Amino acid sequence: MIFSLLVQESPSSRQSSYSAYRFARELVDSGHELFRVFFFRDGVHNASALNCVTGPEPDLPRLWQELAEAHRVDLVACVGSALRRGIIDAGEAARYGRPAASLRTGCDLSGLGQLVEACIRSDRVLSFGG
Amino acid sequence: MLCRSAPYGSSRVRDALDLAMALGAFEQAVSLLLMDDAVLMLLPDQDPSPAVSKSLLKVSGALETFGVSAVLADADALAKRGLAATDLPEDVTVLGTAELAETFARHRLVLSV
Amino acid sequence: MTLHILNASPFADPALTQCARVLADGDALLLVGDGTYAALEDGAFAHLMQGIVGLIEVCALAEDCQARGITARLCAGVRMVGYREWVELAVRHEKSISWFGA
Repeated sequence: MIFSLLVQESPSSRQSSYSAYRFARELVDSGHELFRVFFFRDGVHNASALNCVTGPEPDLPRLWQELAEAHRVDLVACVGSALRRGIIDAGEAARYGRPAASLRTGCDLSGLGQLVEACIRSDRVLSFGG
Repeated sequence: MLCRSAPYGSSRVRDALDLAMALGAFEQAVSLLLMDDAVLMLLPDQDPSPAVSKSLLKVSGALETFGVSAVLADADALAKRGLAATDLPEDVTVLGTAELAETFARHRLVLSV
Repeated sequence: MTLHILNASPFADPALTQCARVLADGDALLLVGDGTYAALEDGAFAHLMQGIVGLIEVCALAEDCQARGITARLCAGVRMVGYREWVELAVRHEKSISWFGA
C-alpha cells in the first residue's frame, strides 16, 4: 500500500512529528511504500539543517533525512510555510538577501501541489499535528 | 479538509483555506468542514488590520472560484457560539451530527489542519 | 470503515467528544500522545470511553501510555498496541481521520 504523511508541528515542541517518524519507520519496515512526507506549517522545522540537539532527544531532521535516503522517500517542505519560518535553500536565501541557507539536504521546497499529488497517488494519507 | 481552530489567533484557518484552494485548483473534489471554533471564520463584519491579515471570511468567499465544492459547518458548533443561519454566508451548508458522519464517510481522504 | 486517531487530551480539547459523534460500525479509535489520557479509567471521560469500547475497537499506543505512567489505569477494553499495529489499523481501514488539539 502507498502512504503519504502530512506533518504540521515543530519536532522540538510537539510530540506529533516524532509519532509521524516512528509511524513512517514502521511503514517502510513493514514493506509499504512511503511516497511523500509533506512538511506544512510548523512542520517545516523537520527540514532544518541548523537544529542542534543537546540532550538524549531524537534529532528528527537528521532521522527524516536518513529515512528518506534509505527508502527513497520524497521529503517536501511547503515553500509558503518554510519561507515564513526561515527554512530556506540557497536560492531563496540569495533571493531574499538572507545570511544563510537552512534547508536540510534531501528535502525540497515546493508548493501545495506536491501535497495534492501525494493525495492523488497515495492509498492512505495521515495527518500529524496538534 | 477538517479544521477546528479559531481564525486569527493561529494560522491554521488561513493555512486550511490555502490548502483547500490548492486541492480545488488541481480539480480535486474537496469540501472544507468547519467544526468547533473554526465556524467562527464565518462571522460577518471581520475587519482585521490590513497590515496583519486579510479577512479570512473574504478569502473563504473565493473558495468556490478555486473549485472547492462546499463549505460545511457543524450546526452544534454554531449553536454553542450563538451563531444563527442568517449570520452565515449564503453558500455555507450547515450539517447536523448524522450529516457530519455521512460527510466523512463520503470522502476518500480527510486531511486535518 | 475509518480509523480515528486522537492526539488530544479530552481534558484540554473537545476532540474526543467531536470524534465520538461520528463513529460508525467497523471504525476504530487509536489514542496516541496526549490522547491516551482519554482512556483513564477513573477520569471524567471514562463513561464516554466505555460507551465507545462497546461500539468499536479502541486501542492506545503502548509507548505513549508507558511514558505517561498510565498503563495500569486504562479503561477495560482499551487494548495497548505498538506502531506495527498502528500501521495495520491504517491499512485495514479505508481512511484515517486525525483529531488533534485545535
